[in-house]
Amino acid sequence: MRSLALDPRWIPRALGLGLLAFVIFGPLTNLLLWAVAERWYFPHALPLKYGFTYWVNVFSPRGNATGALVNSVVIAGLTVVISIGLAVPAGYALARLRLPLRGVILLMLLVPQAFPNLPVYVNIARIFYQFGLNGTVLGVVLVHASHGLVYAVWIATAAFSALDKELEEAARSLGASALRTFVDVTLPLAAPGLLASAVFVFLESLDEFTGTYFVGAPDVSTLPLLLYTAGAGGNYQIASITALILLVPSIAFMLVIERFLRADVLSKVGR
Amino acid sequence: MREPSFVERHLRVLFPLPAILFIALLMIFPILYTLALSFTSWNLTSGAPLRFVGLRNFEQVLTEPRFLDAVLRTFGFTIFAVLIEAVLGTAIALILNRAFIGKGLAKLLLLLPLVATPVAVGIVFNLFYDPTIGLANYVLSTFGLPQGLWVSDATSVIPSLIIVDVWQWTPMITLIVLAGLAGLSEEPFEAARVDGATQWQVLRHVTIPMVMPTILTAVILRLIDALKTFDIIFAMTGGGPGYASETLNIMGFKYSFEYFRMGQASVILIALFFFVLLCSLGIMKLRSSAEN
Repeated sequence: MRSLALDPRWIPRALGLGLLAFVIFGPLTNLLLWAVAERWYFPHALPLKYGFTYWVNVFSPRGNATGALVNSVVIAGLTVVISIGLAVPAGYALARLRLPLRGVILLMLLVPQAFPNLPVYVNIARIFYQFGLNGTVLGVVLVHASHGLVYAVWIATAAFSALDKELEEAARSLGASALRTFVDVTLPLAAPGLLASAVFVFLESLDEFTGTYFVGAPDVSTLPLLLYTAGAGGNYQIASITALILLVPSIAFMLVIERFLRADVLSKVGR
Repeated sequence: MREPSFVERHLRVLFPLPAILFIALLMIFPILYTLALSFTSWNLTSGAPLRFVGLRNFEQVLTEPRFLDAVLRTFGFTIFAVLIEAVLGTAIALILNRAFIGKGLAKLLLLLPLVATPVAVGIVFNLFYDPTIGLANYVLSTFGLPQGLWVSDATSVIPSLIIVDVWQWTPMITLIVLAGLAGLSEEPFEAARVDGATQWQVLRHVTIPMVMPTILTAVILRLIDALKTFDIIFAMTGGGPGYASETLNIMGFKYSFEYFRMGQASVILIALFFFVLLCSLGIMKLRSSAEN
């Protein structure tokens, strides 16, 4: 058995870990303080009164947060359905089928990443306005999906490329059609990777600000929009509480990504 | 065996088609529209119809001092932020690559900034930087150090924003480099050890060169996003004080939504796209030479 406590080499590592924790948690401590501060102003370095009054306000039926939370979750859910629904066949095609114009398709997926989002959103907002999609949940979902789809296709392509071809070939040689092989063999095998990409798209949508701001505001409010308005209006308590709510699904995602996104899948992204 | 159905015969067209149409409609078309707008004079406030003006928008924007300042600011912000992130991120990855107690916890801690909403991060740091009751100045004064104005001062606003970017995105470099380190073969390390290389020599001459392509991939991804940074700057300073944190993306936003000069805004954003493309190509070239 190794003796851990007596090994002096642990000291610098413990110090390093402590420093890392401080750097990461320093700014977050401020957020936590604001979330429970009822009165806090200059020149007091710490809040004068602590309490949960603002939490009650945020979660009261008349508070904006409940509506924004519901909007955010509905939008993120629909975004996942559209993005993954389109990305699964596209990712499979990119990974397995001999595609006409494969290079052009990959370029189409890459260029929007390099192009500033702003003009895209501005022009989409203009086009949506003509179709009455501005300020609607559907409009926001479409914008989020256009963004999420690109990531979803990348991850789906990587997930399908990482699969062993032998099982599919076995199914085909036993007489299963290409479509049936895809549905019954390939899809279940790729499920973990696809699930990870679904979670990723969900969180991207939950956290998305710019597109929602241009296409949805002020009619559709999501948590990031609420956060921004509260912060800009000096309602630091509301902003901090909203930020904390947004952290919860993200932390859940950390645990998921640890399990599903293995290095062998990651290494194939973008190939 | 039965005859393949229509769907089966055209699988390789039907499978990717919906995704392609979606992206063409919602991303490629607006991009092309922006390109077209840059050659027109279109002012939302005047209500006048679109007018083709050739290269006049380019002439006006590209010679404006405010534009040149924004270009330099965008590059200053990006280069410093990404450089610090690359060095720090790689260093942390190398530390985390060894087995030690608390490694899982350290990795989880590290993921926290990465998964936080950028707007939330902006708010967090605005509270943190608050000159009077923010924790940053509190900690500085506790140690007897001079207090700062952070994002409220024209000279410190960009460094303060760089700190925010580094805080949020260093973990991304770490994660990618960790994946790269996990994929390295053991042989060169053993050979180096057999030859009696010190730990430092192994790091300098074996590990770093082998993981360099991965580092550069991470840098490309970061560079593209850093050049396009919008959320954090918009939420924290809106480009101020004055124009002190106005990057190209923020300037493009102001030209679109505050001055409603769509043609000129398009020129600004095309310029930004051009810089993103240029930087990505440059690093991709570096990467292919690092691989050989």
